Amino acid sequence: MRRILFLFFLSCIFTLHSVAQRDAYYRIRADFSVKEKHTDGKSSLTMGQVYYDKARKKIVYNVKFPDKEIWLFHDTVMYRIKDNVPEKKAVIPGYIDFSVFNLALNNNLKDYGLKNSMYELKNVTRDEDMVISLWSPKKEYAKLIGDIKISVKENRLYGVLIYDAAKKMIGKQIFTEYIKIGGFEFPAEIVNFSYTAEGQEIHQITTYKNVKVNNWDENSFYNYPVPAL
Amino acid sequence: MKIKVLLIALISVLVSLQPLMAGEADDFKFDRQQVQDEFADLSRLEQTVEQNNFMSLFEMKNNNLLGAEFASMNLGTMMPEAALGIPGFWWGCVLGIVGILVVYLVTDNDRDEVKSAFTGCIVGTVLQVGFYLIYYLVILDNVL
Repeated sequence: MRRILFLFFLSCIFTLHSVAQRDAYYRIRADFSVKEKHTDGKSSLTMGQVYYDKARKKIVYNVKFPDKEIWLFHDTVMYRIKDNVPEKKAVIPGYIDFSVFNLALNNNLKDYGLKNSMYELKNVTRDEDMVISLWSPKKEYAKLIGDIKISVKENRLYGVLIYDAAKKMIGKQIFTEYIKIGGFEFPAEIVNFSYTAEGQEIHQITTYKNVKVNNWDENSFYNYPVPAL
Repeated sequence: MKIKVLLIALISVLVSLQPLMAGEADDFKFDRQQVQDEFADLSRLEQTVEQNNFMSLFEMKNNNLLGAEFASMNLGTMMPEAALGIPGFWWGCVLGIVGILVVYLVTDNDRDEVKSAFTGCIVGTVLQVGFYLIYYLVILDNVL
């Protein structure tokens, strides 16, 4: 009986600890830069600051380069505000929930949020210094979408491979560096390769610097007002 | 004796599985130096923007802060949807709205095209619901 009580007590502590860990970090800001190169010679550089508060569920980009503008992602809408003129665009549902900010703040980055998605874990293998998991779409989606492979290195998400339904790789994402702030880890550099159906390749490097968590200095950005349109 | 046989069987299973598992890690590898070289010009521009306190392209041009190397660059505007460093395609994959994400990638987020992709998505959803309705009706029919 004592043993059962002890085990119960222990499991309670573990549960409370994981809940506390998950709720310890609620907002994040960072300087960001996205460098992009297409095989057709086009390139782009976008820089500024990004803000996210998981209670507000708004991703706010204060873009400084090339042009000064605000990108506000809220629900399934993106507002692009330039010279105080807002423009509305539809974005794919789930954009905020599956963002790197939301996943990191909710401690779900390691499985890329796939645990609670339309994918199911099929296989886990170990190769070299990586633990590689294969996620396949649930039966009803198998004809539309392909597998996803995730590799974890040093207990952190390292790579994501995305395949189409015909098992052709369409995307590769590598989390090359992380920033550690106390017990919180956030990707500092993400290298992304996208392969389009036309055979074009898009290479992208996203960098996050000066990352601050639970920061109140720039409070107005975290709850940026949604423009009335 | 039994343990020996079991051990041999286990080893042979592991050995036979080895080729299946080998090479998995290779898929995640890439030439980092090559990527850094590819982005060298943009990295230099990034540093210049940082050094100039995140001035806009227009301000930098006006203040002659943009070197000739960058002035001649074919700089386009990035798709905001890719701002997270995660391709739209992935989101579509996870969420299943394949048509929309293809449009996002291929047409550079052309509004009309996206609109029609949404329409296609709705049609697809209706078809899917129809499929499940028929599926469950057939099951119910067989059960009853």
